[in-house]
Amino acid sequence: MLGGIFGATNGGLSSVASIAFAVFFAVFMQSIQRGAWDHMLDNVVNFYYGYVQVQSKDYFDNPSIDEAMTWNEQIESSMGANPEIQGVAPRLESFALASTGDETTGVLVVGTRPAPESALTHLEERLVAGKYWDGEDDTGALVAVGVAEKIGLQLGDTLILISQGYRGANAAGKYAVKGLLKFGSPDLNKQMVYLTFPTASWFFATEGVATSAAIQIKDKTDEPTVTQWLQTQLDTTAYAVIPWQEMIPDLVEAKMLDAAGNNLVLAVLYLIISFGVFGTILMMTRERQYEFGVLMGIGMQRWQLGWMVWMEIIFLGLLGVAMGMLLSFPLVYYFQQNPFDLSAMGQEAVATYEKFGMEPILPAALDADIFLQQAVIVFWVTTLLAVYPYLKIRKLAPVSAMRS
Amino acid sequence: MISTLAWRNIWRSPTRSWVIIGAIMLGIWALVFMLSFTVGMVQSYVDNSIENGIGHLQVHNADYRQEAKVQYYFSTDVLPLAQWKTDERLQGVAVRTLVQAMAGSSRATRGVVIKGVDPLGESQATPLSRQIVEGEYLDANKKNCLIISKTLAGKLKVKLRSKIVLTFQDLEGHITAGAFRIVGIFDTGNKAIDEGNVFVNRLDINALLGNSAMAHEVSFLLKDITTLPAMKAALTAQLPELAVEDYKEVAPDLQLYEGQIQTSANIFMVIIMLALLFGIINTMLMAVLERYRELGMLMAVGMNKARVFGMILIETLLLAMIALIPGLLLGWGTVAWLSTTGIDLSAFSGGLSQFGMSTVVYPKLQAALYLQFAMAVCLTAILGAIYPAWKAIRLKPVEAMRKI
Repeated sequence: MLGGIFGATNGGLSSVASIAFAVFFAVFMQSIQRGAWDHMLDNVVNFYYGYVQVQSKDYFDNPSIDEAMTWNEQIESSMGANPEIQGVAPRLESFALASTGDETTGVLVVGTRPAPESALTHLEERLVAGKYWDGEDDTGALVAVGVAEKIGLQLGDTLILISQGYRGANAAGKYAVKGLLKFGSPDLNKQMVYLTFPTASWFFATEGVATSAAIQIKDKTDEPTVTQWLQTQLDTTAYAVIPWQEMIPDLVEAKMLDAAGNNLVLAVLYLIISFGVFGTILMMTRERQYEFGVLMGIGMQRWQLGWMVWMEIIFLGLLGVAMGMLLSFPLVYYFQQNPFDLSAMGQEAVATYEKFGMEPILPAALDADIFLQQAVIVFWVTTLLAVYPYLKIRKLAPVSAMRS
Repeated sequence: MISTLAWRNIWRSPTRSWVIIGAIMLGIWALVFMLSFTVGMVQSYVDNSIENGIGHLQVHNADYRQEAKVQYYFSTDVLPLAQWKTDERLQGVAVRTLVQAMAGSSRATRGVVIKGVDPLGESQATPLSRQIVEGEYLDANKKNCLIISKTLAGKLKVKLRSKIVLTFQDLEGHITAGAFRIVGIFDTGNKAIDEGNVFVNRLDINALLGNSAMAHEVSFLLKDITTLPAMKAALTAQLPELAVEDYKEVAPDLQLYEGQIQTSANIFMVIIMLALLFGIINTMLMAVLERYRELGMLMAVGMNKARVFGMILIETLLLAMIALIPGLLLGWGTVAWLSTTGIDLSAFSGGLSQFGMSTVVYPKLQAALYLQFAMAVCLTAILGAIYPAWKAIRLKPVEAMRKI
């Protein structure tokens, strides 16, 4: 059976090669695109927002500390009942002016529990200098390196915070810098100051409230079920459960836009490759008129003949897919382990990525579905192309075909 | 004679030739379209950045560019404002005082940059006065008025006529505050600008800072970008104490983006040409293999190898040419049509405004790139012809003629 497509011409081989090229390229491009975006989303989602957040109903539209929700041990422990939920980090956050000596900058003050926060967002691992909090009562501040640089803070210096507290109270306090944190996302780097939850409660003059609670889940694909479960657990007239897509809709949309652009390039690529494969099928059909005539003459049905040709073409396509996958797998694997480092492209490239809140690193995503997707595309394209020989076979007159 | 032969050869198998011609045409059209789209996107980003405040040229105190400290101002007395007013080359001149501050309403607080502007100058240099969606633009005669973006107004829970308190450090380093009333709400469509800035009268903010004749930035919008180098030289001579920079120096990412156009052109080109290469090799190989007997005969009667090689090469080039001209025309037509109607991407508006791009993209393409594509197609045709032509000249006349 295979003799058919490979025997008559070299076109078969070259079609396999062209499909392999398309698959190789598509897999590589998709992997880099997805990897880069996942990396970026992970940076903001996993290292800060958490995949699901609980907030008071009005906080999302009006992120003011006055819209904080009632929060206590009881609510927190009730969430532990769901095995999908790994940890809960209640936070108290609001903007403040941070200053030292003569320098001042705007920062986001986050009050959080040392242990759950570290388990959730690996805050402790982000330390580049100094130490993590000893416990809940620790009054030290952990400051992002960007903030420290901007106002000239060193480890052990005193940081002065001024803000508006809960329900109009004045908020002001002095905190020793206990550690410096480095974030992948430049946005976070420029504005984060962490305090422990009790210290922040004192600073903002709150009691028994939190502005949000980040929920860490075992597997990010379980996010919809956890969101649903939380909605049944909490009083939805007072609390809102917000999945990560809703917290950063613009980024999700930007990712879609980028993906749309990539899909356009891939569509064009596959279209051009299809032309090449169609050329091969065209020649193959013409060259084998005689053979088809003979096969029909000795009793093969038209549908059997069509079936055989379809199988040949699909086989050709899948062989190309397999080759393309084999070629791309090591490359994608390599770039998953050793991401592209764009800082080699110069300072300007780094600055540009920073401007868009991205780390200048492009890892590849090694996902089975990207590989599978190409197989599905090639399967449908070749099936569509196989219509041509089938139409020819339907109209084939065995006797005149054998005479040609 | 050889070209005539080559031309006739093409039409011996018209369907096959049309398939490859179609593929090349599609490839060229897609290349032109995708790249013109990229150019349009980049252009919209660059134009938006220039219009929305960067301007073509900027003047600062040299220290301010190193570190945006409020103390690094310059005196407005050194500025030849009257002379600029009559300069034919200038569309608008915006003098600004810039201060990092906390903006607080009765409900919430955010970190912002206060832009103290001269209402008339700002409205000539940026589209701000036309972007007011509610209320009115700043009035130089009204004291302590402020305009704020729709986004920020929502976040601060304020409305027209609400009061906002701006807290910041004055020139001496003392914390100072001023109450401003919202007279207008604007929407630039650029998320970074909308979320991070409020505009007030420069004289009001200067009074609070403690120096009435100070500014941090002058931004110039030119009528015609070609006058930029001359204007830059003139300003440098006029203001020897200050740093004069063009938009590429102010925002290095813009330069990177403009440079990126050529890079993306090359990447798209290589991908599509590689895909076409497979098709061309495939087609020409088939053309050579089915003419083995005939080629053998031609060589036996004295056609030398160089001529056979040349014939295959010319045949391939002719195929490419037949596709090239209509392909380019089609691409050019598409770009010409879309450059007036634009492509509406409002479905992705959130993602676009995140990156400071407008929602309607007007594709366009430099003439030089069309030429580059034409050359790339010819080069691909030549590369694609080499293997089949080599296969043709390697055949032994006698053996080839014996083949069926």
